[in-house]
Amino acid sequence: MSNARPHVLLLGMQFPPARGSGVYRIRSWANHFARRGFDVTVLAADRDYWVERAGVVDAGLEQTVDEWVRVIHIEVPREHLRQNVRTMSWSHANFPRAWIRSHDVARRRIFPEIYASIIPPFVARGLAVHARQRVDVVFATGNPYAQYGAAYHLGRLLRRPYVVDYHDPWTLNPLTEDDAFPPDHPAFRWERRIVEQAALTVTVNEPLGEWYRKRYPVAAERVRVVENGLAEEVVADVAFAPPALDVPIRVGFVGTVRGDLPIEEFLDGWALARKEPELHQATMDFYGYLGFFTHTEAPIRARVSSGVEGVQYRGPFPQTQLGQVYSQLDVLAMLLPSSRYMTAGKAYDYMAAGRPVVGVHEPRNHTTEVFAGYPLFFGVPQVDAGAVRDALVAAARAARVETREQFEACRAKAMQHTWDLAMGPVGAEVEAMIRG
Amino acid sequence: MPLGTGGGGSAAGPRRPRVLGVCIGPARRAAVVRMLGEVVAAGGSALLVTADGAVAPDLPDGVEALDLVAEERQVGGHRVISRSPVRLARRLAGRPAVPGPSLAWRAWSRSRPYRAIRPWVLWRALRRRLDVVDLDSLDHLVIVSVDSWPITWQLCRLRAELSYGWDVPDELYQRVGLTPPARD
Repeated sequence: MSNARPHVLLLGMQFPPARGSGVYRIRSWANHFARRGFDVTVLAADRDYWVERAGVVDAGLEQTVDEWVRVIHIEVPREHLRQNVRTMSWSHANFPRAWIRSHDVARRRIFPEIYASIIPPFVARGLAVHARQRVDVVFATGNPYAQYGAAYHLGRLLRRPYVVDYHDPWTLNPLTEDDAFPPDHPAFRWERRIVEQAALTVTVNEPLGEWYRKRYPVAAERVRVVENGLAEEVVADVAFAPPALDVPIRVGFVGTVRGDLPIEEFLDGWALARKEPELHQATMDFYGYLGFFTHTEAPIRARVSSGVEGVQYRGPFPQTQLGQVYSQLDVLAMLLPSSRYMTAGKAYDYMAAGRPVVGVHEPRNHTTEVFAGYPLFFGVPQVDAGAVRDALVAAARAARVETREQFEACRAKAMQHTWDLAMGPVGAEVEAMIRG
Repeated sequence: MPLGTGGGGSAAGPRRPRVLGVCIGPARRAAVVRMLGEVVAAGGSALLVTADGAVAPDLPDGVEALDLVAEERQVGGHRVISRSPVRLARRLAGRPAVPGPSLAWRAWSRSRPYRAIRPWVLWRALRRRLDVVDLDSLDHLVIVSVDSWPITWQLCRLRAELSYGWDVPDELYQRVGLTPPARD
């Protein structure tokens, strides 16, 4: 066994200071490998890219990256993503059809995804990193899927194993639970190529793991599940403060308010619940970003701020204040799409808050399994106004009589799901792969 | 004229807001015409730019129209290919003129390469008519498709304060002290 520090090249375009739900998993992989004694080099998108696309970066999150992680920011080609005519290049704006057509042709030749143009710079920089310090393993984590294409190319060029970590499936639509593309789409060919030649294919829950094993039997033995986890330091300071009987209940959603959440169904249920004595004068606060991109903000904001009584959108907040935000809430509402292939990343943070959690998703969502054994989980049999009302009322009752024992039990359940615990087995496997 | 200083309109100055609908092609024509009609009804001014020789017959009163088909045939080499030598000879011979463009122009204007560059050519055609556009008074562009991009990009370069979008935002009316039209 070699004593040299293994060197992992992490392809993580969404690495901090990007903001968004996938960023925590990518950061956690980097930190996990660093804690295992790896040299970690991350290839990430340049900061300006996120400012342009998302309107903001999360500098606080950047501070939570292990000091031994080296981040290389790569300028992401983004002309094709520009939607503001004013900021387009001369050729793009003046010859739009020809420009889009030529870009599509080039993209089809490189990789069948809109982010295909990141592959050349990522591969080139990966080779440069290897020239300076030998890379032992290439580890691609999170969207865009073109990163997996880059990992495939780097694996071949460097003759090193590569690992692909799917946060979301590519060729499977998790919402419809069907293929995401028509049968002859090149994405199927590419995914097969990538998965079958990967040293490991990692995904976020067992239903997805099973899907990959069935779809790619050649690689079935190399499919692993690493569930999302809890960054214990971030929600360490949540206070135990059950609401008094005469104080209105404070309900909250904490996380990215995505467009595919059942917002209307929840608000209908909320309006009904607020008529019940348990939620008299109750408040519902949404905390977090509105979608992932600036152009999706307005429609989501309109849906959240639709004038339902007691509901307010409070906006995003730094990660360092997460514990403080949870401390101000009595009940947490976890809105999710109802798919068995989806697991909420925020589920573990919600657990660590030690509050009653209302699961606004059908039981088939994999998050229901994650909450098995959580003492204060209030799910709904189906996502409609009546069921949401009943769950909210039950959660409000539970919040008022919550005991410290229950609070501690909730937090203990969360502590079974830290990132390091979740990533440990695959981390060890990658280490064994390198050290032989 | 800076925004926010003018009223809905006066005999002395241009009526604000001034909105231009970049209707290259038939897409969303009816919707844009309706929006421009609302602008004029509210006290602003509006110009509909088209490029198919078919200005909406039901254009609301007060909405100006500018069709670029004739100007398009004057841009660069189009001046030459849009004139049929046969027709020229007929005219010189004193024989009755035949209406319509030349065969060469018909072939070129329907070709794939030309369709790819036509929106930019239309900008060059519009550039000759900036007097009609009244750029100094222009506040907002309504776009209909990617074909609107060249004109939008170029006009935004010429006038940095210009906004654009798929519709006319209420805020545009409010900035000049007008009441936005009521919508369903």
